[in-house]
Amino acid sequence: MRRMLFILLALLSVGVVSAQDTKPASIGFRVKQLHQAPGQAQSDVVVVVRDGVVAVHTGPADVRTAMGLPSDFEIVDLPEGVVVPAFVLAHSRTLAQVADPEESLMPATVAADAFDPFDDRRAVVRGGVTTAYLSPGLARLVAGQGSVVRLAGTEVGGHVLVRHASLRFALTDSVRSAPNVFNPPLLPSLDDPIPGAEIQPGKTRAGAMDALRGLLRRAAAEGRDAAKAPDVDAMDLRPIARALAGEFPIRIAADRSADVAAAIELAREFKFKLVIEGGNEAWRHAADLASIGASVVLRAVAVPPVVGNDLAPVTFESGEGRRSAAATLIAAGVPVAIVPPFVGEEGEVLFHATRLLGPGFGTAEALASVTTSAARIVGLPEGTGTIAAGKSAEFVVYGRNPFSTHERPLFVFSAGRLVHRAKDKGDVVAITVGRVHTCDGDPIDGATVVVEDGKIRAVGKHVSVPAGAKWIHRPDAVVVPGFVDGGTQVGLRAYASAGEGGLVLGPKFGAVGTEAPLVENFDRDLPDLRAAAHAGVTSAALTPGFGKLVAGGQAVVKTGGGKDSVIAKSAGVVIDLAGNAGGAPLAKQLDGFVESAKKYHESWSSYESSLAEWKRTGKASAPKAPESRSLGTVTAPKGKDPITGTWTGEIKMGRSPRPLPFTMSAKLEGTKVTGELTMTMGGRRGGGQPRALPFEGTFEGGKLKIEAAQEQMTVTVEATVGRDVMEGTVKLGPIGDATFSASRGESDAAASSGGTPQDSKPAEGAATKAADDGRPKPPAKNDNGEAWRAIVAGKAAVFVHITAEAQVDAVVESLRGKHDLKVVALGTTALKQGLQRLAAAGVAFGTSGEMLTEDGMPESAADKAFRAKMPVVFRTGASGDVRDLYGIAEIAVREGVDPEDALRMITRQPARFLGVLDRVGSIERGKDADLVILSGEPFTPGARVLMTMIDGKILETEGSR
Amino acid sequence: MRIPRPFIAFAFLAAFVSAQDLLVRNARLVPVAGPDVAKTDVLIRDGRIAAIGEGLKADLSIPVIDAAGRTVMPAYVLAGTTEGLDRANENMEITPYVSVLDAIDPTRPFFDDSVRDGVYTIHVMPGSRTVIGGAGRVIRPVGRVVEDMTIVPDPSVTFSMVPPQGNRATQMAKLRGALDDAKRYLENKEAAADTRPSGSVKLDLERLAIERRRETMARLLKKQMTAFTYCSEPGDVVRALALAKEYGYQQRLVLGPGTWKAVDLLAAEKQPVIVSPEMETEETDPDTGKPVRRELPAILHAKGVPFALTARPTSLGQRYLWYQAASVVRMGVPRDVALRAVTLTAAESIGLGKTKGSIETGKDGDLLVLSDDPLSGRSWVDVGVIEGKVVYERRTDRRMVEVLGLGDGKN
Repeated sequence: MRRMLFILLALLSVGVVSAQDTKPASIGFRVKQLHQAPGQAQSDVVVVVRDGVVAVHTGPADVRTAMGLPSDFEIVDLPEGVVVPAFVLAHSRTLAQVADPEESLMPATVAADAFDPFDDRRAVVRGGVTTAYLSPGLARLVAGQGSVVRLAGTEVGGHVLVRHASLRFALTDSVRSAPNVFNPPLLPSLDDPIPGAEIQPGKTRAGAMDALRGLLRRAAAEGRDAAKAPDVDAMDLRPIARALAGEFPIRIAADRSADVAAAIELAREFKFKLVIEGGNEAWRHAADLASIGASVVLRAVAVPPVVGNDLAPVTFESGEGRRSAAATLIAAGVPVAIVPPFVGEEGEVLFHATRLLGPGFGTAEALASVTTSAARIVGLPEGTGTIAAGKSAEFVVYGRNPFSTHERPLFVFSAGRLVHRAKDKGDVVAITVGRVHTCDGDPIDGATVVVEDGKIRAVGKHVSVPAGAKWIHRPDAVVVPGFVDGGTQVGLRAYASAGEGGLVLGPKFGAVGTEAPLVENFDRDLPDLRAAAHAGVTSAALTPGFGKLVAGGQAVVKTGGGKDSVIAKSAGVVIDLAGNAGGAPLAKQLDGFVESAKKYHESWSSYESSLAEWKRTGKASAPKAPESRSLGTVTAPKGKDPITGTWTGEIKMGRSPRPLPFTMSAKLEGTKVTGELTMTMGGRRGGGQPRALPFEGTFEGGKLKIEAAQEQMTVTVEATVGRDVMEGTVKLGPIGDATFSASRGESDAAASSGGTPQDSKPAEGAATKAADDGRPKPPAKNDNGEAWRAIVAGKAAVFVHITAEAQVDAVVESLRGKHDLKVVALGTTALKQGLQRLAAAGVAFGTSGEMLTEDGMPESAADKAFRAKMPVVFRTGASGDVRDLYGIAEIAVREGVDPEDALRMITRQPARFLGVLDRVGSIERGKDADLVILSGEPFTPGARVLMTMIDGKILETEGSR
Repeated sequence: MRIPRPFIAFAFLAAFVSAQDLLVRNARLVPVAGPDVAKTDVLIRDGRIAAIGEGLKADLSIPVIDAAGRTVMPAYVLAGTTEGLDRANENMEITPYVSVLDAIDPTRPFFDDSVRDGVYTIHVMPGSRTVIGGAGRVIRPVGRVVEDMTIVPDPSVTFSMVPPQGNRATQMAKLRGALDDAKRYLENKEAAADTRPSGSVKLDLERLAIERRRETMARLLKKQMTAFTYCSEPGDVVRALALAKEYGYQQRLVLGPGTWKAVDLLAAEKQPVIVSPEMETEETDPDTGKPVRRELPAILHAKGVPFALTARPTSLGQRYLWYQAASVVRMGVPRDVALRAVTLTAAESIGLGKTKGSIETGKDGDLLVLSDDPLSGRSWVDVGVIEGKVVYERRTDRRMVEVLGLGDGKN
């Protein structure tokens, strides 16, 4: 145990070492561009780092063969990638701990002494900055000497590159507030009494200049003797003397014009190398600065870009900074290094330089201002800030153009070591292609789609790709929304009629009615779903076959096989009018469907609002008139059966406190009743096995008598039957007599009446009846009602199979005119007989690509409907093959439909009429990441599906590799 | 003008007590220098350990302690503390000329407690809020005046890499300034010694005083004293090592827990270090964002750096060296290393490895008779011995009697 701990500790300390990246890197990058130096670029190269040393490979030969690299040598492919030299930060005040001391004049202070090589500086390094100048202080007249350090990639001790990089003076306002210093003599005496606190120089510019001149003069006169160390109380003038001797420049912090002028004056007088730091108004003195060979470390102006920027200069307290300052200085011949304006932005140096891009300050100048120029100004050896074969790796790898707002380095090398590698953001995928058809506006050329957590995070030409995202570049490819089939039976589990041969796909489902939702037969593991996904169909509506007036409800599923494959349980109802005479009776019938569906919907809406109210306030909302109750008293239509169905009830056994629950399924034929009675007996805590007893009996004059017999006992039931309720006595053999009551389940009640929602009956007063805690009770669920809910809510459409002209008016009048529902007409008859009327009424057309024949010439139904301005929804149909969806649209294009419109017929339009446009059907921010990557423009010859993405998951398609 | 008190360099020779003889019998011995011995005798003559072994013979005149069933170990060594001073630091930043000699107050309860707890070698030094803090002193907690208590008069001068104001770069500049000054003072003095005419020495009191003030730094550069340098961050260790190398002085590092990252540098130095009473720190792991405990002693041990532990009287557990040692065992450090950290390594770190910190023939007879194992929380010092003289007996300790009741030391 203890030994383990040691090993753990040993590992821990090893971890510290490896954080310093002691091993030289070996890796390569195939990139679009290599900037060896500012203004000097090479295209289509492989930049290789072998044991920390750079090599560059060009030409068509394989890089591994050409350079003799092992076959497993990592080469990162970045088709848009750009490599630039690592950045030199020419000024920083937080990378070393340089809180200002009391003393105004501390020339002996060396910034490197305040640098802790063990500190975590990855936040800076990941921005591409590997070398930084450390300021010895800020708000003191003579803060000391600046140093240059390497921030990563080296051992402790090797981090100081230039110990004495500059001597720093400051003429800015900040030095005016230096505190007074109390400095008692070593041994106070009458001759040398204790003085008061000393007021430090530099409270005004005049005072500051006087103090600086004094120091410079003294240093010039006596400080040259470097061997002479000063007294403990005297100031060490050696650094000033060294600066005057030209060993390093004097860096003067100056922003306002007058301060810059004063600095120039000092430099002229004492002939030292001048660097202006900050330099808001240095541009006003560009010529003077150039004449004395001075440089400027320019704080990037922190203003948003303004059109015609120099017309609207922004004034700072510390002078007037201009976005064109860098350009002005460079034009005059003054070397410029750019530094970020804010603390905490140290790593963002290239970004801040990029913000200044403009006339006279292009990308080459911007790059120089953070590499070569910066290196020269801080005293690094010539050649720093460039990339050359044979040198140790000191560069930054970007995934795309580094001179943009949203790019961040993917890899950073320092001293031959890989010091930053963008973390793999596995859940973020970016796809950059030649064109994106969003189906929400015009196609976008050269666009990128960013996907995160299964949703579309962004789409457009200039979107930000997070560093570390998985990035798919297909400049030749086209992205379209995942296809949505407006009606199919993909993924439905149906059993072959014969034997136990396992699963056989099909026969397909016919008209099932709304009481038996098709979606219950959906199996997300069926292989045909995968086939559909490979064909680009990412969502599909499950639709029933025809053969019944209410053929059934639809549901929308994803083909990706995910856990939440069913994205809409209610996605329209299919009405088959085959054989229907149409006219007024049909209109009335349709009205009946819609009205009872509306009532059902309202009962749920009112429940949902009262539930929301209850959740908010803890109180039930005022009871509303129970609209839903009337639903139960709707005139019974034909074929009303008071017995058939499933009944549930309770038997009250004498003094027993707990009633015995039972269910009874019954069927009435004439007066004869047969069925099964299921009771759970024997278990005190309800743990007994349910037992089913078959029974027979009669129903006459509202009285039900049945008898169920088994070996041990005979159960006799006598009951009075009301509307969906019964009450009576039950004789339980030797156990004795008991009373019972039961009610009939809603779906059965409805089923017994032919599958329309008219007879659906919610639990009595359910919408308003409150339970003990005041929580409103939900209305009973009803599959018929559920199927219609999305329709009456205005989301999904009624899919009506029209087979005769007489039906057209009824559909238009009732569903469109009276109820304003979305309607999709199915069947070519609709087009032949009622094209104009349907189109005028705003009815859509659903088709599986049927052809019409007019004047002996075949014509696409889709094209005809489209030209009549009917929205078209493509659906492969209950008996079709979902994989044909793209082909159906392709034929429509051949027949005259515009490709963009045809694409919408298999994406946006189906999604719209299925009520799922909020999730699928177009490429929009926030929608499901269901995408298809095509090898070319949709519906062009040879265009094929390269890749399908469903909910952000990529499904490689065969042939794409 | 105040004339400074004459510098009485060897006054402490009028030492605290005359050394004595003592025989401890039948003890379970934890000698620290070697493996534990189940049962043995220890003979002290003239204050030094004369013999270790079973059945030792001695004159009848020599007092005997029967330690049967009890444990004998060397007295604890505290390698650095500011206790016993009225204040840890001067207000001024550079005060090499002050000495704890003038600040130690022998009547402080700290010394009383040290006697009771068995801490018989104590290095008192100025605190860390300074640039250069002044001279320290190694003392025993027994004596009426500091001179009586003194073991080593001026072993150390306190440096700090932790700036009381300003920043670490100015701290370094100030340290360099003071060292440069001392260097030049030494050079001038040597030059003067060559040219000074003999016989006519004019007594310049002021000059003498100034020179005395520079003497500490001069002695440091002449390697007659050792700098004890406080470090709280890993970068402090880098700078402290560089500075000592640059000016060529001897140094011991006193480490805060944050210095753990610099452990590789410390390992390369192969010198014992002193761990401040706060031994562990909690950091946020930059990769996982989770808090991680960093236990400096465990990390030092894993890299083979010898270390001494220190105690802090102001908090309950940390005031005992045995508790610190036990805590370190809990961190996974072997028991013998933890025990050495409060005895032999501590003694070595203050230059007393030859006389203190273990029970070996020839070493000072500073030992403790404990009621139980040293790292047990139920262990008390029954008898404390300094150089053969019994300085503490629990049964006569009024405070302990009040707390624990009278007894034979086995309660």
